[in-house]
Parts: sequence; structure tokens; C-alpha cells
Amino acid sequence: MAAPVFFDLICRHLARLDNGWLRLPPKEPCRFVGWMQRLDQGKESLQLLIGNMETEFLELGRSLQIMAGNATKIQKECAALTDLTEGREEDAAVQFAFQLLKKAEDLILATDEQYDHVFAGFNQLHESLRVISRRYDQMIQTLLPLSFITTQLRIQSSHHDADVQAVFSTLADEISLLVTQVRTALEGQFEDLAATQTRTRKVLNDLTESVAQQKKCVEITWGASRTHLRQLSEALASSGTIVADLASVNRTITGHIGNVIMAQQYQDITRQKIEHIGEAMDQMSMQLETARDGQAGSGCRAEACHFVAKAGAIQLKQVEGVFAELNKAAHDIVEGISGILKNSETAAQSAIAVGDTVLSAGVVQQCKDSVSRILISIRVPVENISGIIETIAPLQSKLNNCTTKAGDLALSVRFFSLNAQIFAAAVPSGWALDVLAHRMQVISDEMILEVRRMSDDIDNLGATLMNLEDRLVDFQELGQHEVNLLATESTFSHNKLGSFENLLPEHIERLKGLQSSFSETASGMVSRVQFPKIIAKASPHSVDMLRDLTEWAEAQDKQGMVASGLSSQVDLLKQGYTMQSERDLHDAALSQATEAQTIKEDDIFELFEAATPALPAETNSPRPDPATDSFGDFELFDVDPSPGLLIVPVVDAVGVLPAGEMPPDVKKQEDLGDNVELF
Amino acid sequence: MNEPISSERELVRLPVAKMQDVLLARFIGREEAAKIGFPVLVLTRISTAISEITRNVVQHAGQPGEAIFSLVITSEKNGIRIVIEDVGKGVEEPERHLNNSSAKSMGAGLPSAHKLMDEFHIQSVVGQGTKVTMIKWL
Repeated sequence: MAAPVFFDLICRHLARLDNGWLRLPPKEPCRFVGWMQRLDQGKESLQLLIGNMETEFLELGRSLQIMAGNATKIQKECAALTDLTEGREEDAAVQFAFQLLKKAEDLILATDEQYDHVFAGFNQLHESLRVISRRYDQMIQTLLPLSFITTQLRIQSSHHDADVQAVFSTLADEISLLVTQVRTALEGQFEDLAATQTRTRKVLNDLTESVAQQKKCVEITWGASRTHLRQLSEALASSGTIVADLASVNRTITGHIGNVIMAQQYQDITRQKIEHIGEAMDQMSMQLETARDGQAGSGCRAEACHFVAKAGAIQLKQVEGVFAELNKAAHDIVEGISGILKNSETAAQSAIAVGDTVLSAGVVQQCKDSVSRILISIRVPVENISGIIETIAPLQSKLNNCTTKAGDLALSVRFFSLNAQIFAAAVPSGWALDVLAHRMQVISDEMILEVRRMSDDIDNLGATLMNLEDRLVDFQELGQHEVNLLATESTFSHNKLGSFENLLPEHIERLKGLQSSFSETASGMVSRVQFPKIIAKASPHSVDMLRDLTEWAEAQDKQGMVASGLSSQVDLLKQGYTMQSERDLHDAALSQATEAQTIKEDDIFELFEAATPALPAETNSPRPDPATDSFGDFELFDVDPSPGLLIVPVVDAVGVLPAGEMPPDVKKQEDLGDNVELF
Repeated sequence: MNEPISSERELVRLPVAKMQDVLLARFIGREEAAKIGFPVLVLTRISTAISEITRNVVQHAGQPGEAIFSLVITSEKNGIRIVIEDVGKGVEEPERHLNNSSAKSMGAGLPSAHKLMDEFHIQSVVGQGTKVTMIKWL
């Protein structure tokens, strides 16, 4: 039973091989050549793409370098402008001007404190002068009896001899003269003092009025100055906000530039990938060449198709990936450049807004004027203090003069009273003269007492005035020093504001220039960018070509696999075929030769269906895969669209055999063929 | 981190009660700083900072204060330390006032002085007073 079964099997497979291999289309080397040409074209197209991109990216890189440099400069300008406008610097113009204003205010407030002292001192002066005046009146009252005494001296001396009369008459005359002289002098002094009092009152009134006016003036000036400084400060703060926005916009621009640069990195990666793809294409082309030169049904062709199918599938994925990356890069670059352009326009508008905010307001000039006015306003109170000192100093001298005169008078009266007492003691029965002399002493004592009181009052007043004068002199010195310092600072502040006024437009102009150059570069970049179009054009061409090639090669490979299945089955038959089978087969062949020759194909098929389960179990051969082993029809061959359809046994999925060497399966088939020839 | 002060010498101590004291304090502070060797622009900064803080004492503390000027020396540099303290009203959260630099408060006392000096510390207790310590390094 075994021999006919094997025989049937061999016959059946040979019939299949005959139907499969022998009915294949004739070898079509032009199809291989066609694919090779397309591969070359595809490679060239990719190389051209990468070459164009390289040139364009170099240009783009140069532009980006310029833009990045500009963006850095713009950032710096924005930072400088922000510092300038927001007053971040410790000696920023506006802050400095504000501080100057406050220092000047301190000086004015301190001057006001001095005025308070002056007013208090002057009030004390007037009070003291009133007291001194009262004392003067009392002193005059004290002196009045002296004229009566001198008359009495003359009367009383008339009772004595001529010498005594002469002495007392002379004494009386001297006393009268002295009183008259001193009284005249004192009256003059006190009148002068009274006039001084009136004058100081007037000075005080004038000063009060002046201080009030000055305060009003200072308030107005400083109010205006504060307003101007605040306006400037607010203008700067608002422009500072704009500049901060500008800086933010520039940061966005830098971000966009970064994105574009990042996107540019794809070019390097892509170039490497395309180089690899090109190499793979070369290998595929070589395989196709081998296949073209090999014989139909040979292993090398199957191998080449398998290789092309596998490599084609891999490279198809690679190319798709490359184009996806390139498309993304192109998108990122175009978006980045558009972002740069849009933001640079926004930034330029912001720069103009900064200029408008600060410069158009003209507040800087107003602030400069305010600083000058502040300086003038602080000089006046300090000069007033000097005026007060000038008024006080002679007043004190006059008061001292009065005290001296009154003291002189008292001492003279005392001197005359002593003389009178001496003379009276020398005159016999001169008790009346002695009484008068004693009376003169009492008057002089009272006068001395009054003078001492007045002198004390004057001294107190003098001390007060001196204290006030010292205080005012000290303050005047301090105030003058402060005025000088403030004058220096005011000049400094003025210069700072001036420099600010000059620097601001300079910064803005530079910023505008940079932005303009920036926009120009960005616009140029946008207009020059061509590679997205090139990519869009190259993409379908390369991808489609590889897809077609892969599909074709896969179909080839699949058919090769079918042939390989058949080959395996023949191999199985060979393995199960023994010498006994040969003998049995030979015997059977002899006896059934005629019958065997008349077997129809349909019958063989039926036999095969029935015989298949009867395969010898000891062969341990795998049962053919029903999916790939579609016996009963030949659809694969019928629908083959490929240029050179071949069914060849495949040795290795990717391996390539050396030229002229036959794959082992093919060799086995040939062995089997030898055996078949035996039949 | 601030370098430790190796030596300190008190230069002058002044009362701070009236506006004239403000002028005097900034005048003396300027003079003492000039003796240490600070340049003119820095003298202006120092005197401005003194002015800002002493003015606060006169106008807001409600009690007299005191300004103490000292020479401070570290291993590497010299400086002037200015301590201005009062026993007046004090302020709540004094640190909060240091960074208030809006447009309306331009040139305001504490933030301004804070900016002008190298080191600035403020301690204050409501009802007990305030102590401001400032250092400018040469």
C-alpha cells in the first residue's frame, strides 16, 4: 500500500510544480531595471531635497544669528530703558529729584522751627523792653529830687561864708549838669531803644508776613514740584509697564528663535537618516540587479525579492518618518518666523508708546524747572534768618549802652553825694548841708539799685538775644551749608533729569532701529523660506515609489514562500522514500503501468485527499500550513501584477547567497528530480 | 552672607527731636562718612538715607530719638553704621514697608533708604519704638 501512496504523492507534487513553476510568466528583467531606475531617482530626489534644505537652512541660520543678536540687543535696551524709567537705579533721576525736594522741605521745616524761636525771642524782647522802659521811668523819677536838692544846697550854703557857698554852688552846678547830661543821654538811648523796639516789632511783623507769604509760595512751588515729579514718576511707571511688556514680547521672540533653531536641528538628523535610506536604496538596487541577472526560479531571485520586501518596508517607514519630521520642522519654522515677525511689530509699537508716554508729556522739563524753583525757595528763609541776626546784634549793643550810661550816672551821683557829705562835715553848723548830702546818697543808692535791676533785665534780654543769635547763627551756618549741598544736588538732579531727557529718546531710537532691522530680517526670512514646498513636493514621490516597490517585493516574497512550501513537501516525500519503496514501486509500476498512465488529474486529487492522512507517522514532518498551502487553485499566480513573477525556495529571510551557489532546498529538489527520472 | 564685623568705634551720638536735628544728623553723618573716605556721590546717598529715617522719627515717632554713627571694620573693608532709634509709636510689620515702591510713594522713606544703603535692618514694636540699623561699606 505504501508504494502507490508515495508514488501518488510524488506525482501530485510534480504536477503542482509543473503547474506552478512551469506555468510562470517568462523572466522579465526590464521590470527589475525599472525598479532600479526608480530607486536611483528616488535617492537622487531625496539627496536633492536635503541639498536644497541645507542651502536654505544655512541662509536661515545666518538670518537667525542676526536676529538672535538683535534680540539680545533689544533685551538689553529694554532692560536699560526699564531701569531708566522705573527708577530702579538707586540714584534714578526722579527718585533723586524727590529726595531733593524732601531735603529742601526739611530745610524749610527746620527754618520754621528757627522762626518759632525768633518769634519767641522777639516777644521776650518786647516784654523786656517794656520792663526796662518802666525801670527807666522809675530811674528818672528817682533822679527828680536831685534838682530840688541842688537848689536846697545853694540856699543852705548862702547862710555860710563865700567859700562854702562857692563849693556847694559848684557842686550843685555839677550835679545839675551831670543829671541833665546823663538824662539827655539816657533819654536818647531809651528813645533809640524804643525806636529799635518799634523797628523790631516791624521786623517781626514783616517777618511774620514774609514767613506767611514764603510758606504760601513754598507750598505752591512745592505742590507744583510734587505734582510734576509725580506726573513724571507715573509716566515713567506706565512706560515702565510698556517696556516690561516689550521685554516680555522680546522674550517670546527669543523663544520663537529658539524654536526655529531647534526645528533646524531636524535638518542634521534628517540628512543622516536620508543618507541611511540612500544606502539602503543602493542595497535594494544591488539585490534587484542580482535578481535581474539570476535565472527565473533560482534561489537568488527569491532571496533578493525577500530582501527588497523587508528592506523596502523598513525604508518606507523611515521615509514616512523623515517626511513627518520634516513637515513638523517646516511647520515649526514657519510658525516661529511668523511669531517673530508678529511680535517684533508689537514690540516696535510698544517702543513708540514709551516715547509718547514720557516725552510728549514734557514733564521732564517741568521737573527740571521745579528743581530750580525749589532751590530759590529754600534760599529765602535762610537769608531771612541772616536779616534777623543783623537786627538783633545792634539791639544788644544799644541795650548794653543804656545800662552803662545809667550805671555811670548812679556812680557819679554817689560820688557827688560823698563829696557833699565831706564838705558838709567840714562846715561848722552845716547839719542842713549834711542832710542834703545824705539825701543825695539815698538817691544815688536807689538809682544804683534801679540801674542794677535794669541792668539785670537788660542782661537777661541780652542773654536771650545772644542765645537766639547764636542759635540763628548756627542754623544759618547749617542752613547755608544745606543750601549749598542742595544747590549741588539740584545741579546733579537737573543734570540727571537732562540726561534722562536725552537718554530716553536715544534708547527709544536705538530700540526702534533694532526692531526695524529685526522686522526686516524676519520678513526676508519669511519670503525666502521655500523648503516646506519642496518637502510637500518630494514627499509623495519618494513615499509612493517605496510603497509600490515594497508591495511588489512582498508579493514576490509571498509567492517564493508558496514555492518553498511545495519544496518542503517534496523533501518530505524524499525522506520517506526507501529502497523497499523503490522495489515496491517498481513492481507496482510494472503491473499497473497502463492503469497509471490513464489516471486523470481529478482522480489523483481525490486520491490525494484520501491519502493525506495516511502519511507515515515516523517522518515527523510538519503538516503544511493551510494558509500558505492553498492547494486546489493557483490564485496567487493568476493575480500576480509583478514584472518578473518567480516562485523560488527561500533559504533565509534576508540572507543573500553568493553568485553561482545553489540554495540547499533547490539542491534537494534537484535530487528529487533525479529520483523522479528513475521512474 | 554679611562678613562679621571685627571692630567698631562710636563716632558721634546725636539727639533726633526736631527738624533741625534732621539737618544736623545728615550733616554730621555726611562729615563722618567723608572722613572714612566715601566718595561724594555715596556721601549724598548716606545723607539721604539718614535724612529719610531721622525725618520719620521727627514726624511720626511722637517721641525724641537718637542717631548713633559708628565706624565698622571687617577683615576686608571699612564702613559706617548708622543706628537711629526712638521710643515712639512703632510700626506694625516694618518689613512690609521696605519694598513699597509704587509710583505714588516715589522717594518714600524706608524703601528709599533701603535702596541707598548696603545693609538695612528694621525692628519695631508698636508702642515701644523703632530701631533702624544701616551700614554702607566703603
